[in-house]
Amino acid sequence: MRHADVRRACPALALALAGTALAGTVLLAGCGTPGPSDPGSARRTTATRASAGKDPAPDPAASTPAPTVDTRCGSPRASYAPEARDRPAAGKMPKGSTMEQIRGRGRLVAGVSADTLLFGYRNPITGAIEGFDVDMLKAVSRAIFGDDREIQYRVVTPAERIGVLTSGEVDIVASTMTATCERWRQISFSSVYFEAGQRVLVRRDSTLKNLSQMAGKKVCVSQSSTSLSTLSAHPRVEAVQVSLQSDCLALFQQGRVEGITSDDTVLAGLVAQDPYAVVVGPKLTDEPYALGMSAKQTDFVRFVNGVLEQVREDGTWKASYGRWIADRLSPTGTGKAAGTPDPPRPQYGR
Amino acid sequence: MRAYLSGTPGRLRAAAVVCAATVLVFGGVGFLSFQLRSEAQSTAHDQTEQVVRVQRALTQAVQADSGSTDAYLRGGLEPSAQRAEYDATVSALSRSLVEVCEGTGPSGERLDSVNESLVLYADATASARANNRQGFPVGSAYLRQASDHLRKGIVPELETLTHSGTGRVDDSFDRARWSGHLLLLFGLTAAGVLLHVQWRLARRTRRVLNLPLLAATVGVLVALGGGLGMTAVAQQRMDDVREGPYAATVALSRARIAGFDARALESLILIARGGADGYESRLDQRLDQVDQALDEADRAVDLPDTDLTAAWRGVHERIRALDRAGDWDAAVELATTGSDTGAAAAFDRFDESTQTELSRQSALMSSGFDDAGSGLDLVGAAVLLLGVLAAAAAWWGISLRWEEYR
Repeated sequence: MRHADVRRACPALALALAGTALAGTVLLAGCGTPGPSDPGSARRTTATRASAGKDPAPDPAASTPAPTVDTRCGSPRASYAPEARDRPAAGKMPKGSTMEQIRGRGRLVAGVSADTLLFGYRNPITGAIEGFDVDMLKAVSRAIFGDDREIQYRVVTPAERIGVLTSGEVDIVASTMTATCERWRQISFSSVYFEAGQRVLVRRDSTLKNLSQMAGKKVCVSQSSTSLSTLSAHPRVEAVQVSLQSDCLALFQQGRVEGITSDDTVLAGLVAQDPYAVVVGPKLTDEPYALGMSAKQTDFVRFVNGVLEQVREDGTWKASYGRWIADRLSPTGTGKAAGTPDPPRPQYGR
Repeated sequence: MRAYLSGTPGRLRAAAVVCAATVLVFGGVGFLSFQLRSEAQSTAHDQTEQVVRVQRALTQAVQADSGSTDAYLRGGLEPSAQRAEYDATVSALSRSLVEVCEGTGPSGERLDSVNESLVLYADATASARANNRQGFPVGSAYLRQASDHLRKGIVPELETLTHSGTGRVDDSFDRARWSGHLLLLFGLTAAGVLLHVQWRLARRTRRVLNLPLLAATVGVLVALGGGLGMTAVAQQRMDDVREGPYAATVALSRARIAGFDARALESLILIARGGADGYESRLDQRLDQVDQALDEADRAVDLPDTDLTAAWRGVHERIRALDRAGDWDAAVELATTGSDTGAAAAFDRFDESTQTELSRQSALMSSGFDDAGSGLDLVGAAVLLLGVLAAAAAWWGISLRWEEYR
């Protein structure tokens, strides 16, 4: 039980931690241009404002989304447009480009999750890392090397994703990572390749339906995740922070937390491992997933965006969606699978 | 009474009482000092055996963990032989804990939490296994929990027990040494009193020699010399065992504990796929500890084969090099292959050779302590007997003088 004691954070501590994790994001209150089409960003913004101020009792008024504008960030969904020459044939990368360096090294070094079923997880039976995120990386590997196996996986926790990019330890991160303004300050993102949203997971027999009903209850959440920021807007919910998603499921199965909050994609992967878990409530946020890359390697970002366009167009995206997600995730949050949606349309403008 | 002790005969009687009493006390203290030494030596023996038991439990704990992390790294269904080995190791650990508990006395409470952690460890490992079997990645979370129970619950508690155990061994050795000082102090006092009385008698009575008193003095000196000699022999034997087989047993156990832990860490690093910098430095620490401990064991008993880790270290370096160069699959293959050139085979050789040597040294240790303790009670009784005879002789010797005043 000492385990839980170490990791459990009382609400005040959770807030303090959230504040620490997002230190330097005080300016975030002015970030993003969430309009009616993007309520999630607004919600995240207010949540972060509450925690960034390290105010143990945030002003209730702050939980009302207030649209804010940041001209420096623009939309976090907007990436660098690919150019025609950014789709060179595999094996013929432009001289001096990041892609040529990667090719010279002989492998693409990629930060992934190893425990997010459906997106990036280590299959215990084969030992291989698989999932929708991994399929995106395979497409990048195929574009550079002509072979989708030239990938060196580096398993990272959510909290490590940005650090390994800024330090140059990995070329790219594909790990259910939401493109946000705050993260754009440190790294660059590809165009959005998946639209997720935060929801809540509880026991099948639970009467709890959303975070507001969970005051005083323990809810598990990953450190340094956007979900944690959202949770900060519910200061009376007791956040139990762990470094990995699978730790949340273990705590949930052991009855040490009442619920888990994370992206619907992640939660769908958890439900697939535990039929006694259900995802409830509406989407609390919009989480546009993008591949993370170094802010310095804009050429690589453009190249990857070119690869993603191809992935969207040639059926790779839908095939991958069909393989991993279709039967397990209801994109509308209604509880019914609604077939394969169209891939998110890319936005550029940087 | 006053009349009995007054005048010259009275003073002579007083001297006789003092002499006899001092010599009797010496005999008694001599006897007790050997009792004390015998008891301290057997406590030291018990405590060393306890340290060995605790270390055995520690070794089994890290051994179980290195087995289950290795199985997880291999992926797929755990080979049934490995599963059987894990079960056997955990049962053995459970038995070892009972044995440790029986030999632990006042520190019994500490084992409560170790036992609790063992249950939680086994439970988490079972959950990890059940989930892995279904291909669920949550198995990895249970595996991490299991590792935590082991590394934060079981291992530190047992290490504390090892430390307090070696502390008690040291205390027992100190007590044994102190018993020798006791013998020396009282022996010299008794001999001094006898010599002083003889000198005074010689001056007063103009009889140079008092044979019974002289015999008593010789008796005391013989008892003292013999006792000190035996004490020195016993102490030397104890020190030989302590610095030889006992030091080697403790060092070899430490080498094995660090070795199994390093093996587990090697698997954990590969499982984490570069996501675990903390593991790498801990692994290096553990490998250094293996070498240091083997050096220590070698200094203590001159191991037949000092290069027990060379083969395993070589494979380990190759695994790390492959992993760092990005060839994870080859690294895992080398770490898990059943072939003779792989890490498993190299580690098994380390395991077997250290285990063989450990069994040998711990047997030597037990028999060495038994030898060092044998005959001590007999010597104690002899000192007591000599003391009684010497006291009687002293009384008789002085009584000859006061008889002359009748």
